[in-house]
Amino acid sequence: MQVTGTRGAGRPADGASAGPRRLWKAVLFIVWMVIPIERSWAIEPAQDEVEAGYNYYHGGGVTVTGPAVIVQKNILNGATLKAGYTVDIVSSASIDVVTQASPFKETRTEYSLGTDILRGDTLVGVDYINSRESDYLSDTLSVGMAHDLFDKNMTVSLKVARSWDQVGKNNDPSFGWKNFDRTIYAAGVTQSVTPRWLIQLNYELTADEGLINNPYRSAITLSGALVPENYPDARTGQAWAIRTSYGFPNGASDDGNGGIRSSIQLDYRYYYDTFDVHSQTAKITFQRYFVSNWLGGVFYQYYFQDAASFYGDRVPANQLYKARDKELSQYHDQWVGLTLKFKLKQTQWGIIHNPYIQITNSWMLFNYDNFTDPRTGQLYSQRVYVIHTDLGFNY
Amino acid sequence: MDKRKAIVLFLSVLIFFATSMAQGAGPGEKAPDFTGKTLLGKNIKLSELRGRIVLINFWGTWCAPCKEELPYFNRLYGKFKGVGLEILAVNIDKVASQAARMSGTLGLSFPVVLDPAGDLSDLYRIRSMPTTFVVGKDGMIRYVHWGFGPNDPARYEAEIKSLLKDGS
Amino acid sequence: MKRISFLFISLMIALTGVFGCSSVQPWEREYLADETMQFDPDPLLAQWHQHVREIREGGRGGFNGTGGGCGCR
Repeated sequence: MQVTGTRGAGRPADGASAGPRRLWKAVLFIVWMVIPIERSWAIEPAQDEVEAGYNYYHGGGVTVTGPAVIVQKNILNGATLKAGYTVDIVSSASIDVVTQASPFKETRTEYSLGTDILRGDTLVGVDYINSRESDYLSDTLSVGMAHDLFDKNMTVSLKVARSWDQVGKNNDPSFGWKNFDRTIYAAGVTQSVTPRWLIQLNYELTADEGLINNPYRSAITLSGALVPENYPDARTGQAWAIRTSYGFPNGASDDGNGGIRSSIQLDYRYYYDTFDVHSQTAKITFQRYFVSNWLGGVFYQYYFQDAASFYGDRVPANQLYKARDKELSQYHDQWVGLTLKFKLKQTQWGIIHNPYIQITNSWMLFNYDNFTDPRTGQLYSQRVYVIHTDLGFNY
Repeated sequence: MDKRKAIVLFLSVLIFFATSMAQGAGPGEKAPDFTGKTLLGKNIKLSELRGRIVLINFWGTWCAPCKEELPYFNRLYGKFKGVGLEILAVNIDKVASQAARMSGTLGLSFPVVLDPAGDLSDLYRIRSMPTTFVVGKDGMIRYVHWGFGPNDPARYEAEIKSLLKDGS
Repeated sequence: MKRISFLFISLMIALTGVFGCSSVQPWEREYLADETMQFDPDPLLAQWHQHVREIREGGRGGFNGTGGGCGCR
């Protein structure tokens, strides 16, 4: 089962990728031409850092756990090297799996390597990500740049990413490997409005082509028969998001926290795509420092979407495109979380600086409006626990 | 496609306008005179340091490169203090005790001037953190360092040595 | 959809015009340097939550951006 988020095979549409490639080159060309080279240095280079964490997801019959590590190091002249490693160990008896197949275990391994380079007022980042599991292989390359304007009050960022994925099917050698490609264009503007207020506007376009549906899942006809799902060869989605962050000062008290006592963050995203999925996301996060080295946070996110045009809990057998993926149905979910972080700032143990440890516990509740549990005939809902903990330090 | 082109054009225009950034105080200018109060409560007037090479460094406890730069300045000060180098570390934290704590932790041997209201930073038109002005014996700004990177230690040494040779 | 994107682009341009002369000085960025003032300061947490979103939500993208912070070098 694909756990990376989908997708499957199909025929690659080569002609369609030439346009975006030209556009990408044009963007880079324009930006490089206009950037003044000798100026005040701008975007802050990352500090040398190590972070190691543990992920946990449990609900709806699916459990995913595994470690994740990131190491970051400055190498000559304003360049930073980053390396990452993540493992997802999946045990799945999800609703689709138990009603159409049998429970399984799977391991996904992901390696990433990236570099950030400062050149004048611009930060350029190149990243490569490789993900492997028994029936899904993925290679992703992304190039991004961020540029400071107006005395660093505004940061403009552009990013282009391309994934070349191979989709297979366990226990079915005749399926072979099918292509799935994804291209992402992202642009964002971040503005510091006052010393305690930040606003960010983002736009992101995701273009998929190839086998988009999950090869293991079937749709169900009106008469109750299982038939293969059939999706269009391409899917283009666009997201518009606004995020804002506001800090409340702590007056003149000295607690080493840069003068911030608490902060509030609001996020909103509107998404729509060529499958006719429309969704809105709204999230609020509140964080507060306690007793010097302790930081606590709470967040609440509400998400709702309406269904893809060819989605159906039951579909007519003669409908060309058929989908029964609950992630394409009409549903809403609520996600609540608590974070606790302990950080020793301005502390040094040998080569370790500023160590910290944190844990985020969260709960998601999904309610599907037009996806039913075939075992009961009732509308489906699931409750999921998502936990993440990590520790890290500068060195 | 049109939407994407529009965004790209918009961002390029933005970047084009960005070339008109304000300039900080630069080489060839007279270093603006000021009287600053140090952590120890003393007053220091820049013009009284005429005849010595003065490094005016702007730093904050919340600025990571600043925290790397200060221990280096400590060593630099130790090396060239006897032959006419002075370092003034202007701290821009809103809360002086944070600066005092860091100064103690790092064992800084040069004066830390407090500028919580940002008047000095404004006077020197600081555009980035950290910023260091290398002022010659004649009170003129000779070199400006925006930020602190791996190349800076060698640059500082070379600049100070050349200014020491300077008769003025 | 065209209306939404038009609104957003206009908002971007308007904000740029209004805030282009924003007056947060480099030495006033102390609060912005704090992690509570940054979007996604913890990369591993952001990565995991992003992964969960991708698997469980039909919407994609929009929550990645660079900016804010202290702007030190």
